[in-house]
Amino acid sequence: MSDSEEESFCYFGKPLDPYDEDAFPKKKPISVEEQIATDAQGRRRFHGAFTGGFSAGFYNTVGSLEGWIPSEFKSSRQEKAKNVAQKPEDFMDEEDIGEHGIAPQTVRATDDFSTAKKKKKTVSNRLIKALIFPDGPIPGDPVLQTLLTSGNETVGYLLLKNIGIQEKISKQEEELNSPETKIYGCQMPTQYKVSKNVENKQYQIPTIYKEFLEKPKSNTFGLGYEGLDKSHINLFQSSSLVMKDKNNKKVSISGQAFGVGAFEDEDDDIYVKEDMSKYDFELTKEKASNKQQSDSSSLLFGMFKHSKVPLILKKLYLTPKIPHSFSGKHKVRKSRFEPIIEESTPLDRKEINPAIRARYLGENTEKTYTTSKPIVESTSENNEIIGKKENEEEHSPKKDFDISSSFISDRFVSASQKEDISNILEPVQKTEILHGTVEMREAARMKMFGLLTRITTDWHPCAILCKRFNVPEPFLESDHIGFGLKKKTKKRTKNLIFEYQKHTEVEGPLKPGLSTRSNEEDKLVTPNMNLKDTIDSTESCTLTEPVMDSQQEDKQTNPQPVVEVNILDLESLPKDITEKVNVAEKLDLFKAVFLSSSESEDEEDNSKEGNDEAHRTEELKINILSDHLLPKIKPIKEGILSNVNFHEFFKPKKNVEETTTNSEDQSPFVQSCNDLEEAQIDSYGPRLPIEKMEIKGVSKFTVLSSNSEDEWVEKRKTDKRKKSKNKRKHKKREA
Amino acid sequence: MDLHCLSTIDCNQGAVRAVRFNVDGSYCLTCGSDKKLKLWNPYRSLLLKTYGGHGNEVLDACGSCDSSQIVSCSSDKSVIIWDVSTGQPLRRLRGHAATVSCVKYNEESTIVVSGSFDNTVMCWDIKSRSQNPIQTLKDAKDCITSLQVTDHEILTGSVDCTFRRYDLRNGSCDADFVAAAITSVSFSHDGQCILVSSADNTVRLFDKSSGEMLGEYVGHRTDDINIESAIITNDNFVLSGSISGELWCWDLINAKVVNKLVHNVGKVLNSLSIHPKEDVVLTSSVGTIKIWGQPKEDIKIEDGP
Repeated sequence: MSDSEEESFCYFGKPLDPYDEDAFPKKKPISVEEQIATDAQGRRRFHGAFTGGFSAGFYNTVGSLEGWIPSEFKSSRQEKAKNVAQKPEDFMDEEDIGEHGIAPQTVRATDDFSTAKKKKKTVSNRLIKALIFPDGPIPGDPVLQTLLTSGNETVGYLLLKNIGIQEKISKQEEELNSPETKIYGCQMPTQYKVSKNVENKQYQIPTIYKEFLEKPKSNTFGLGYEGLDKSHINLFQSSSLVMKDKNNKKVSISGQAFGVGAFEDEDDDIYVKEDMSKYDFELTKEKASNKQQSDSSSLLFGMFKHSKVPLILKKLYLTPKIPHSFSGKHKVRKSRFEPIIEESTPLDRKEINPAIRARYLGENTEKTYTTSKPIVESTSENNEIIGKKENEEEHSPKKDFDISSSFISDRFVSASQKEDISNILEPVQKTEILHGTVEMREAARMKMFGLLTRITTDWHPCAILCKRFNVPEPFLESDHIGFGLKKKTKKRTKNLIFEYQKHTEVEGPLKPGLSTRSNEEDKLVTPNMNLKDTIDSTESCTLTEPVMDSQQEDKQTNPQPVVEVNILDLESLPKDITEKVNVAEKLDLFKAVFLSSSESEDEEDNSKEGNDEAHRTEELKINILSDHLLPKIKPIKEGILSNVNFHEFFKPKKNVEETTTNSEDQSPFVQSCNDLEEAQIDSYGPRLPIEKMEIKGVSKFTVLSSNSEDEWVEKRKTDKRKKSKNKRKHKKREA
Repeated sequence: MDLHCLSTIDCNQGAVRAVRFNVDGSYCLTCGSDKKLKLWNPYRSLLLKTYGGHGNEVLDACGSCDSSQIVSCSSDKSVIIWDVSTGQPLRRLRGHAATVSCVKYNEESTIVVSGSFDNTVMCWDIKSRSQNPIQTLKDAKDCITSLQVTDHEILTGSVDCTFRRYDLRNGSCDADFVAAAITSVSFSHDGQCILVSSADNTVRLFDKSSGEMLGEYVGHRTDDINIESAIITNDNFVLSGSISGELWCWDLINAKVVNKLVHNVGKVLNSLSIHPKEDVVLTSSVGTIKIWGQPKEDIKIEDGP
């Protein structure tokens, strides 16, 4: 043994004291059997029975000398029993927790201080932590810690380092990787010498790996584990341990079933019988060693053999040829005798083109259809088809999409040009749409904006819109929103004085002075009378009901004079047809406000123009229409104006009474004028000839008297709307 | 007429399609072609908030009377009502069949009126949860380009050469024909006149009640581009953008060009907004907005709310 060989060893543990041969042994050396490992209490730790056994409990029994004492359940007021979760430590002895126990507890640095843990943390994490918590006098890593940190090498690393394997490997790697090994590419410079030993050098795998390379691990057991050998079959005698398998197969077991005591040598295989193969029958040199030597030269990397058996070539089979008639679908073989089934597969909707559809429908169309044609082209003919189809396919649940009825119809404009399908790329010609009429365009060109370029139409904003804009609804009687005809009429009369004012503002500028106003009022009345033909149906509808009421009443009492009075009134006034029709509604307002003044005026007028009356009334006769078209002249409103009304009403009554008492010698005109005013409020009726007017006289009083009272009652009847009622009440309270 | 550029803001949101003052003129909104709506303090060039959620270019916006909401419209056919502070869309109104080009609140911000390229004007009730417009005005024969709403009127300008004034009080609609496609409509501050700019390079002033033309302002070029015009707060001058990037100012009475303020040479000045109380104007051109006014009033303005 050379020194170099000694150096390659490494020492573990303390060396023994050098053996002094001269000195007598003081003690009898302890035999192997007596060398026992004891625990802290002096109890024997390991027992001979099995490998790996260790002491437990009281001399390998449970608990203590007295035995195992189960824990008692105790619960008192002072100390309530706790539901304690049991830990493994509860079942351990002290020595188990000790240094050599199964769960050794050692003093360790906590997480905060352990360097190992910190290493695991990412650098960035640490940086962030340092940034966020720059605590302490010195920011960053504690200096002391950096000084004290050990090299955190693992045990495995240290072991291998001690063995020196790394150096060996690195040495070999250096040699291998030295630039002399292999050079590709350019030609070597001439002075360069290739060392000769390069070729011979071969990488030597460290011997510790060789075993595993030669015998690759095929199981999942630990390294070096050898389980029971099932395959061992004794040729001469069956072993004592024979079991029977499920399939009645004999299984003999041999080998070590259990561990051998720590202090005993492993037994020889006592069950093994002699095998002839173990014997040598020739007296020759050991072949194996020779073989190995000879083989080693042919080994690759010192361990792989060239295989002698040539590799078996895999036989390749060609894919089977599929007959060309094969379609992959299973076909039921048809029998000759089976009845022929009619194929009635429904045509796909997409596949049906208009021509096929027409054929189904029994339509004769020479026209050829293409799938994408502009709607412009498909005119009446197509429509006919659609119409017929609808008729015929009424039973089908699907409804045809009708563009005309859909709400988006007005968003589309039919194409003005035909689309040329054959040439899609052709740019579509720009079409210039001229808006407005020719007159409008001309006017705009002449810069004569105004009447010529303006079109004013009625627009019905919806109720919510008006509400949100804080604007009263302009068309109360109409339900219809937007433009167009007023279809439905409602008897909704809003008793707003301001509404009426607004309308008058619209109709024309107000003239100052009461007299003119009364005049205007009359103006507003006249068209109503004259335009009866032109009054649109809706307006008449709104008026019918109340008018009818008043008419009935009038007829009951004495309709004739009343009518006459109206005519008289009208005669004295100029005709104005341009005004709006809804004046009738405002009548009562005007009446309420201007009645007294107009009366007096009329009185004068009538007296002056008495002569003309005759032929004027004749004129008007022609104009007056049927009864139901007559506008109401009842006072619609109450509330604020009611007071005024009453006030006004009383005065003329007195007058009339006076006149009547004064007897008939007063001119009939004056009287009629008085009557007129009253009657105007009240109602209309068929006109009477003038002669009769003179006769009416006293009979009128009844009319008038009934008028004021009855009217109000009736009004309430007609006003069914809660809203208006409430409003009226409210106003009354105000008044 | 003495306007000076107080500040220029690069909005950084693509082309600015419209710039609008809020109700008291202390903030402004810019509608970007990058689908974003931005709220600014224009006097300090301060971006306050960005509102994102539209699916296409934002074309117009309007702030509510209490400045708590913003309504905006976009090429994605939708109208969105935004919460100013959170920046979240409160409601998304989908009813138009095409690009929504203009949008306005009513005086109390209870109704949103939107005009679209589908030739309709829709009125939406903000107080209800309904997804449908309460009324649709289908009178226009072509795209709606501009819209104004007052306390009782809705004024619309359309490409069909007609501007329409819907009067809620009288329940009437006045359709006035102008020879060319209308790009912008606006009321004078006294509410008696209507300023209309059209595609024939002309701005006209009409009397509201009669429809007669009161003035004609020419010289600038707008071509086919949708360029806005307005009357300045004191009702003395008429302003209009132009294709050449200048803000043209005319005297309202004699229709003479008073000033030409250059915003962005060679680039279209498309949108402008008049301060509701003072003679301050916002203009937008391509990606920038400019605020014009009297420099001496700076302090006064900046001290505002």
